[in-house]
Order: sequence, then structure tokens, then C-alpha cells
Amino acid sequence: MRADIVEAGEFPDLAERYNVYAVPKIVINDTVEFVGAQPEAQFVRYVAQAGGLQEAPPADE
Amino acid sequence: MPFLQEQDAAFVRTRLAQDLRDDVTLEFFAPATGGLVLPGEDGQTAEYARQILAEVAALSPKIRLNVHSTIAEPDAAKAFGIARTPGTAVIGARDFGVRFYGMPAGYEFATLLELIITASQGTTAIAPQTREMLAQLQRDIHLQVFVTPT
Repeated sequence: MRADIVEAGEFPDLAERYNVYAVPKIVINDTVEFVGAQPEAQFVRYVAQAGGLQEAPPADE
Repeated sequence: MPFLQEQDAAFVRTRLAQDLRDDVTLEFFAPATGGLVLPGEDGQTAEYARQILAEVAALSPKIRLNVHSTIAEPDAAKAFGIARTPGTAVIGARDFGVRFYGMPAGYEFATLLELIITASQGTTAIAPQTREMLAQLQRDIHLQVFVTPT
């Protein structure tokens, strides 16, 4: 797992490439994206989705 | 002119003293270093970034800053997987794959502190279900979190 924190203002080409208008915007493996801080369970679902897991594990709601 | 005001520096120093465990190394990469600032906005941003990191490193004996020039050390940049500059690898007891791209100013200064502390503690308070899911991942995960200081 690699995690990059990227200042969108300093890298306008990346901001454009990933359509960054509101922050924080999270992009996972260039395939899954969402805006705003998420509860852990939801964040996990996104990672699972990007990570090729058929089914995300049941999360505590 | 320092970036951190005296009270802020004192606060950060205390926080680091309380929360750091393992040593942390900040591997900072910019095109030019060693007092040479390339003309233009990019050169200035890189120098500001370096200065902020230097001020933070000075606030704890557990934090070390290594400054690299991507021009002089292209292999090091590649080894640390630095894609853009200014770019900083935040390394704890081992490399957890965390990189900060840009100047850690404004709200992102707090982000930088959290990255340093987390890398230093070497663990996070994530749920057991999360750990299980991570263990089952079929692919490498590349997270990109876009932020802005304002």
C-alpha cells in the first residue's frame, strides 16, 4: 500500500487529471474516487473495491 | 523569517515529545538544494517546503531531515519512489509508503505532523475488520489524497 498526500494547488496538472474541485478528494488505484472524510467502514469499502475484493466485509454501521 | 511562531513551535515540540516513539526520517526531494533556489514559483515552493520540514525536525531529536536534489541524486529519488517535487518520504522504523507532495503549509502542516507521529508509532487504531480486509487485498493499493492548504 502506498499513500500520497498531494497539494492540489501546487500540481494543477494532477488536479485537472483527477478532476479535483473539492478537497479532500481521495483516488484509489485511479479507479475508485470519493470526496470528503469518510468513516472507517466506508473508507474500507472503497479500498476493498479498488483492491479487487469481490465483496467488502460486513462493516459496523 | 521562521514559519512557525514561537508558541506554535513550543506546542509542536511538546506534542512530538509526548507522541513520538520510533525515530522518523524525512527524505526531502527538490530539484535543487544546498541553498540554491531555482527561479520561479516552483523553486520558491520547494525552498519553503524544505524550511518547514527543517523547523519541524529541529523540534525533536527523533526527527531527522535528509535533503536530496533530484538532479544530483536521480537514483535516490527513484529508490524512494518520489514522483514529483517537492516530495517528502516520511519514514518510521520502516517505510510505510507514505509520501507528501507539495509544501506542508496551512492546514496541511497538521497533516504532516500526523503523518510523522503515525509513522513513528508504527501502528494505527484501525478496526480488526479493516486489518482482515487489508490482508485479503488482491492488488497493490495506491491511495492519493488531494488537499489544499487554504
